[in-house]
Amino acid sequence: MSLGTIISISSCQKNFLQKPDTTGATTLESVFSNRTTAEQAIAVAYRQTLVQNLWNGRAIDNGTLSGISGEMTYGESWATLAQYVNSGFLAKFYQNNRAQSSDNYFDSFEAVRRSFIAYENIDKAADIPADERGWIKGEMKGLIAYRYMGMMIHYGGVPLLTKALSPDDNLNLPRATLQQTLDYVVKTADEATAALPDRWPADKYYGRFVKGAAMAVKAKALIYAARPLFNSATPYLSLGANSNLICFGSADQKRWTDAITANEAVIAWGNSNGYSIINTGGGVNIPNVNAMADYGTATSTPANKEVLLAYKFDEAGSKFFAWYNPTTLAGVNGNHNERYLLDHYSTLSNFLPFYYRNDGTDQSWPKPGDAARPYQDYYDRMQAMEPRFKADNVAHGIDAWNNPGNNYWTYANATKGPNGPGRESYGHGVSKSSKFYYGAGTRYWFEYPLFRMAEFYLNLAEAYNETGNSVKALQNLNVVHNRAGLPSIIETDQTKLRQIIQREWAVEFYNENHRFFDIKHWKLDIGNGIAGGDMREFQFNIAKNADGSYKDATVTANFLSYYDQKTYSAYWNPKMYLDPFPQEEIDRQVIVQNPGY
Amino acid sequence: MNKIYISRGFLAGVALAMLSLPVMAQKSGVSTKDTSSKTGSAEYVPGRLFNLPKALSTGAVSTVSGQTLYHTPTPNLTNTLYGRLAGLTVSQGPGEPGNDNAGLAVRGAGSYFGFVNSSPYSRYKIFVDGFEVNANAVSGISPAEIDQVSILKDAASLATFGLRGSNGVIWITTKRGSVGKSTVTVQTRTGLQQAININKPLDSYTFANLYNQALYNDNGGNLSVARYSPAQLAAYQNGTAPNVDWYNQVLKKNGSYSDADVTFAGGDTVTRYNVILNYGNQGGLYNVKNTDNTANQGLQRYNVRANLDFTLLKIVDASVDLGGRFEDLQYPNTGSTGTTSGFWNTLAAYPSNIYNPYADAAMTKYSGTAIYPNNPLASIQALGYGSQHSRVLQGNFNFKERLDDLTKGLYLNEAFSVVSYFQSATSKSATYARYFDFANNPNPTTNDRFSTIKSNGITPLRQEDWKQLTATIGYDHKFGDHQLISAINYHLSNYRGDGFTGFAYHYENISGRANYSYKSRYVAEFGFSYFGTDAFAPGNRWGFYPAVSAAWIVSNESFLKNNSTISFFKIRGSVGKTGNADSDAGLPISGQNGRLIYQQYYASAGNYYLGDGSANGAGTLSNLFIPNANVGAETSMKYDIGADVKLVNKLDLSVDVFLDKRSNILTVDNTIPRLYGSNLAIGNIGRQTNKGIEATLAYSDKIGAVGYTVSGLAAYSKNTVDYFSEVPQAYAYNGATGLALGTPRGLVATGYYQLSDFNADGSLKTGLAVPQFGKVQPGDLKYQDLDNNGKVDANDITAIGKPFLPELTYAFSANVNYKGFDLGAFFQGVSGSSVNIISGNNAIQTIAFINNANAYAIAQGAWAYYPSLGIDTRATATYPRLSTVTNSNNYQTSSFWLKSGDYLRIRNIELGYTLSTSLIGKLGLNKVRVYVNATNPVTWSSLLSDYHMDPEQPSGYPPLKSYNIGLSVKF
Repeated sequence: MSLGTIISISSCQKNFLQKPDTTGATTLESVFSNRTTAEQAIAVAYRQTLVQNLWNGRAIDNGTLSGISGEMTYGESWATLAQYVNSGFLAKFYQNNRAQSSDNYFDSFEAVRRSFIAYENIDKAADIPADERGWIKGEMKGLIAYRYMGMMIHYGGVPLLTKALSPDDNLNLPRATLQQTLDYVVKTADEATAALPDRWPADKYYGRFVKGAAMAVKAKALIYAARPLFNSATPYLSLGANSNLICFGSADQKRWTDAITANEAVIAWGNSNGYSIINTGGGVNIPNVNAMADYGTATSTPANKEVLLAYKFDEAGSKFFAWYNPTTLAGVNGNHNERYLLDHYSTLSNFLPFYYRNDGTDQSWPKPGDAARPYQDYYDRMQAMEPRFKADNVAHGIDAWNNPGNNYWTYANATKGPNGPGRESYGHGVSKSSKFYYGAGTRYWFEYPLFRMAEFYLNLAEAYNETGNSVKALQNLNVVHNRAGLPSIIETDQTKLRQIIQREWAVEFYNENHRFFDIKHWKLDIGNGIAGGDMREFQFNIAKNADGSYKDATVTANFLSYYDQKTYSAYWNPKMYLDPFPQEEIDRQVIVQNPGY
Repeated sequence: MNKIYISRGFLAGVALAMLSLPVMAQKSGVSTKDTSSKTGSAEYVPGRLFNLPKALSTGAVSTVSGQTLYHTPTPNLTNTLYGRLAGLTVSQGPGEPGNDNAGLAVRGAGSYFGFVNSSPYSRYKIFVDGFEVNANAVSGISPAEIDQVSILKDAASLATFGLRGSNGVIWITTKRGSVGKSTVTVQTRTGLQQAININKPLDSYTFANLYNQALYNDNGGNLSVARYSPAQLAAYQNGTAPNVDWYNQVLKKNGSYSDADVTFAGGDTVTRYNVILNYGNQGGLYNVKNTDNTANQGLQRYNVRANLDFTLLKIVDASVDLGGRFEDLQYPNTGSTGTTSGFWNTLAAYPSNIYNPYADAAMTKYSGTAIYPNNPLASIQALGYGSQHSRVLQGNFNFKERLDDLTKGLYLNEAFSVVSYFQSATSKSATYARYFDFANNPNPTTNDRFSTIKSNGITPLRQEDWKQLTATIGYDHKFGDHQLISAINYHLSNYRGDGFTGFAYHYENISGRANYSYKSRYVAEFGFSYFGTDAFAPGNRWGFYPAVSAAWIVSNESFLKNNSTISFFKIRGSVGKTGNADSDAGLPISGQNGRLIYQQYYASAGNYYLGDGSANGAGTLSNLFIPNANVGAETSMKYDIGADVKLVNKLDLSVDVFLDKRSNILTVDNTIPRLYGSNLAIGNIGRQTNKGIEATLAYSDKIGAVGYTVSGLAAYSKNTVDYFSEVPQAYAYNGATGLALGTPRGLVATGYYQLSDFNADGSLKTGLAVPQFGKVQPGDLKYQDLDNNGKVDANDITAIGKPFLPELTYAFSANVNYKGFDLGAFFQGVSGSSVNIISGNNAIQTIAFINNANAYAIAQGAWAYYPSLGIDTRATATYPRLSTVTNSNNYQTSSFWLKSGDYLRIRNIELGYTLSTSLIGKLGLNKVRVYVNATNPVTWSSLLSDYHMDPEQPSGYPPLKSYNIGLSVKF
């Protein structure tokens, strides 16, 4: 060989440094070149967008918003929620660079980016018909509007993106004002509504955005715009010249009438497209005799006609389900260890009085300091509760009402037993949540409802009441209240009716990620036992053996008596009306932090 | 801006110029001996393309012979390297057979690239007999096969490596035959291996007492909440309740190691050979027999290496090197393939009092509960075993044409190398039912049921091959006072993995070196690499990496020539550029096709579910990082000044000072706001500086019949991460920019909260900073509020210790011989490193009780104040108050938990006796030596003495010490 040979070897190896053959993978071009992979890019936009506020949306790693909304206890002492309970929201989470808040800001923009990428590239998929590509653009707009609606509720005004950014774009986008953010959500939702179909032609696409779901985004955004936190002349805490990021700067009744129009439109669309509140045994002002089944179906049955949009998720082994399912089924695929997740995660006695008795009156529960009552008192009062309570809860010592006769749902098979002397004093609450599992039997997964038709009736009840129209308010409220098997509400005093409507919100949407935002946007007295301050749970006295040790606390016969007791204090500070932005994003000195952080 | 593109034509020109200059000059010159093929342990400095006489070398190279490394009996070559090479940081790994690689780093951490979440080791490159190989190909080479191991450290010695050079090169040559009488050498050695240290948890009684104390603490000092009654405590004390030393249950006192090798060497002017067969056998520490159902951890290794040299024709030499290695590893089937490392976490985590190993008196039912399901004894006895099989084959073929007839000193060399590596695993698995208190509760406590053993299929783990081709033109010549040694080389590398190492990597390297010297006094060397890689987009693939160096051999100047004190004195210096193109190492995108940053990739991110009623999973495809077509290689500018001195022909001294400036380090650009929707935009934006000093010293002399040698080395390096686009920090002191790579950051602990710090209602007194990690009480750790905002939070973290890669490595040794006896002791130590004793698996030994955790002696120092129980450790506490619930305040990363990782070990002591020739000559023997040896017998470390944790391996399978005897016979 000679020098010439060497040089020529290297010259004829021009291709040698090309991308090696075993390094291939899916690229942007190949993803959007055909329907199969393009639909996977669409699916990822759904998955990441709609997971907002849910456990695996990484808002909160261990636990759900119900653990800090005053609905439930916060879970295991090591769980992330324990830190929220102790120290509230922080701009910097110690363990990583996310904020200690109820949203994952980084994920929000990642979700928006994915939707925009699908929106911008779907036309490359030539094997998808043109009209369907138009629908897909509509659903991507719908997802963008959904996530921005969520961000508005969490933060107020946020930076507005109108495309998938490239590194050459100006990335230093400041926060838009609250009004601009609302306008963007409404405009994007309107564009989605215009582009989307009423129904996807194939059943396998059931669950994707339809016209009504995009309308629901707008309806929800406008209700939050009308609520006192934003719809006010002064912000909850001053942000000086930037107060327009967190407040409209005026209290305007028109925001309520805008909300009415948008919510009426959702109901009208639903009625003509097969979506309605499920009520098989009642009528106007007539309590529904099938309330348990109808409410249970609406919250638990996949793809039922009351749900406009759900987070559809069925991943075996996901911890997600373990936060909701109180049976051994929570540990999917035999992984029973996951059951512990729900062990300290139960309904608080702070929340219990929102539920009505089955005749529509209030139940009388013990208060802290009251003498212990016999267990039979607990048993009788629980049995007399309204159907929604029984669909949502498993009471201590009583087999689950929502899956009668199923061995998995018997009390002994489902819990560690209640709080009490000689045992854990915290975490087992007044009852365990069993919502989303009505008639589920051994199905461990469920669809988390994001828009349920009942929401728009309560939106209307709230908005009409604020505009002084108690007739319309009661009419809409009782659609939900009667469906629950309860006699009509007739209160017409605006202030009292407002509280009744808020109570209806609490009960109807228990554990559905509404309460946490309702109490804040209504600026309720949160620190006084609603989600902050003293949190209370029932304690149960258990019979003892002859040697003084306690008997088995999972056997109903051993329950002697119960009483109410404060078990922990939850941190509340008015800064928490809105979420903090992650400190790292603030330190880039482009966006303004919300007040108090 | 694009990189400067230098045409291949220019390179050809450079090459021709390098050759033609001496060719023209040669006419008046005088030929010299070929210096490039000189082998053996003579005085030369190994290097790429050619070795150099020690005097003429301009580079910084440290070398150790295979013979020296043989003094450490271990199956893993990396474990023979402690303190042997100045500038090589070696960190001991676990002692687990088959998984005992030590971490290696050449001249510390030059670049943070590749080290995001892991250790700053393993970024160097390895070449065996001139061809690049992977770490797994060398860890099992026996020192008996090795002639020399060198590390190439500076710009001069790394000049020809281009993008393989920036993190140093470990350069290994294997033994070759030489002309002479045939010899047969047999070496064998065997020994016992023991854990250097095992930190055993507290006994049941102590555990239970402290647990009660933790409960009092959690309940506001309420003494009625004890979990263990006085009767139970008494039962632990008198032995009627479980008090199990799980380590005693599952470990035996000694493991074992034996190896043996036979070397045939010799040759004549036509054929030379060195053939070695080697067998090694290591037995692990588990107290379980090898049966049809169980296996102790064990490694058997078979090595064969045949290096053959031929003089074929008058002008043609050829060599064939064949190396092969077969490894069989067995291990108890504790759940992981190839390792039992996770089992050690179980072993450490299970308290003494949970249950006896068996739940029944007949000892047939294993204990186990939902909280502690993995009975350690059953884990090694009842789960079956796994085995792993590996083989490495290397074949090098080399042809050399000596073209002296054409031009004196000119030669060509062509070589081809192929390395193949394959690894597979299989297992025989079983399960067992768990019981608790079988007499009263005959039902199993978990869902596991007894099963007989079943065979599982073979899983391929790793399959890769590496084909390389080189072609060299060399020219060596001496004419008058001038001497030139030079070569130019083309290197083509094609690496391909299948399965999980499924990447292919290609590179091309055109490189050359020319070493010119005048009167053996002044030396100048130029080296270069024109390197092409497939990691980047066209236009960024090729780069030019030159280096220049020089040396002045002062002792050859007339004024020192006859100086009796200074036998040798050389000053040398080098400056040059190398680089790194390992674009997939350590970035958050690695494993996601992240090697090709210029391409946009998509990958699955779980399913989304659609459908009417039942859920249909729709697969997802999610875009990964943001592609960047402009990325290119990291560059390293290296500067080195050194001196080599020999005094009175007895004292050797060598010193090097170096500086390594890195730039263009591939880095995630954190200046991009997160609203971008992806934080994985990567660019050549990082910078780091590394500098240090290395010194070696050796003194040999004789006092009468006693010969002795003392020697020592010290290597210090300190780096600074100048810029890595750190996520913006609230305060400069929070950040990692400007610190050494891996410097721990955390809160500054100032002691414990005392009773006087609290108001009557349990809240902190006004004026005290409030920690944001949950409510505190007396005995909890107190931290500095660095920003004085009244809160202790993430804005109060700062640098709190030394990086765990030690700043200083030192070693010293002494060897004495008298008549046939020889005695040697070898010490090695490090300083300037920290260990976080609550990080990772270390927490098992340090964080007591929380989440059903175990407790160790460290917990006995807990802050406690119970006057009624006679407990008051307020003044003497060495541990925060005990708790059974998560106490995130106390277990933040803080200076409290950061301990010095400094240590000094005796790595080796050996006493040998060589039989006198007169005695053995009659038997036809040439040399017979017997010896006893101890490896790692003693360690001095504050971490070890204060916390019973090994400074290098605080948790997991412990590192080993060993006691051995050996014999070597030469015929």
